[in-house]
Amino acid sequence: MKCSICKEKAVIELNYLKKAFCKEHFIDSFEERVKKHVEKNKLVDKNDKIVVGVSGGKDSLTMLYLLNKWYPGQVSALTVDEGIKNYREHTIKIVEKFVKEWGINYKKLSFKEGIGFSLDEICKKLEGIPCSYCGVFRRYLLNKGAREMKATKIAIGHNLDDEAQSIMMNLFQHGLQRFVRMGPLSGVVDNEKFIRRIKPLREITEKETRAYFFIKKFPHDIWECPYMQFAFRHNIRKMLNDYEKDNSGTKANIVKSYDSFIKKFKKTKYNIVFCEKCKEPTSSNICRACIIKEEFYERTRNKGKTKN
Amino acid sequence: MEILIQGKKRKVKNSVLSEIMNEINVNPEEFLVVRDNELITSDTKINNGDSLELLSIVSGG
Repeated sequence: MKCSICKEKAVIELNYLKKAFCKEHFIDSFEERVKKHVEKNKLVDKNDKIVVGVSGGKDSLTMLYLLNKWYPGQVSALTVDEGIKNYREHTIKIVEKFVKEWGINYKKLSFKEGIGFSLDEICKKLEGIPCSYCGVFRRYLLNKGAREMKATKIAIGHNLDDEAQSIMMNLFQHGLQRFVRMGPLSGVVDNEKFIRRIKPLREITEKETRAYFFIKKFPHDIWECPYMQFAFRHNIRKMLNDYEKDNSGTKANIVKSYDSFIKKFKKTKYNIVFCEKCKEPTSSNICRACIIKEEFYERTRNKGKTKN
Repeated sequence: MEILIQGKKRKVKNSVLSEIMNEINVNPEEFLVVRDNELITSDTKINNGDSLELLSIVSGG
């Protein structure tokens, strides 16, 4: 297979883009697409102070590397230690080495200190799925920590696969509140206590980040979260990958469809007013329920009159 | 022919990477393949005795 640009031997094929790249042009294409996504969606402003949530995995480290390269002086890193034995201590070492090498300001928070107990402790006492507790507290501490670091944006390493999975998960679980908050710049509320999250890698597949990481010879983690098997996301990931194998572009199309939908949804102005008759919320002066009730009573009255 | 996958000997019937992946039931959406420290594409001809490394795309949790 030849590189779509220079016709040299390709090292990666991206079926969803109908392209293949040699090493050099893959790196160029990868970085160009991430930069274009950041600029198109105005994810970073020149006055922004960005805190990158870093786990030590390929996505968060790639994002940290690129944002620090493009926006020097505006980027810091923040790691949340959930307290997962035989896992997180290894990835934290990778992060600490990485930020030292690239001279990036770094802070670490832990569940134990910030919440009062580790994820391992939660899982011993509560019966729910570990990821459901982990996600809640991780977002909580990321937001709190980023705010303390005076951040204006939190960058998270969600890639195209993650985003397609999240869309499907929210549909499967009827999570409509979470559903409308997604997108390249997530969160629909402007509030000084809430730091909005950006997703620079949202249009890049997980496979590409892995290839970028390999070619760049970045230190990759070989540790897998012991709770991953319990995650609903794990099943959705497998389902989407099985489908993508024979239907290239499925994951990208899920995200594109979401974006088209949400664009129209967010443009719609919903003015809530209250019904003049019953005082319930509605979109017009008199609510539909009151209009139907009025019609019903009027017909009843007329019928009565006819009979009389 | 016989090849090495993750350092383990394995007999395969096919000789093109995409067919071998299918034969050993590995989804190319979940793994990249490395030969001689280089990533290779699905149309690559695999030779007897080649050593392949499967890089898991999913990491972390």
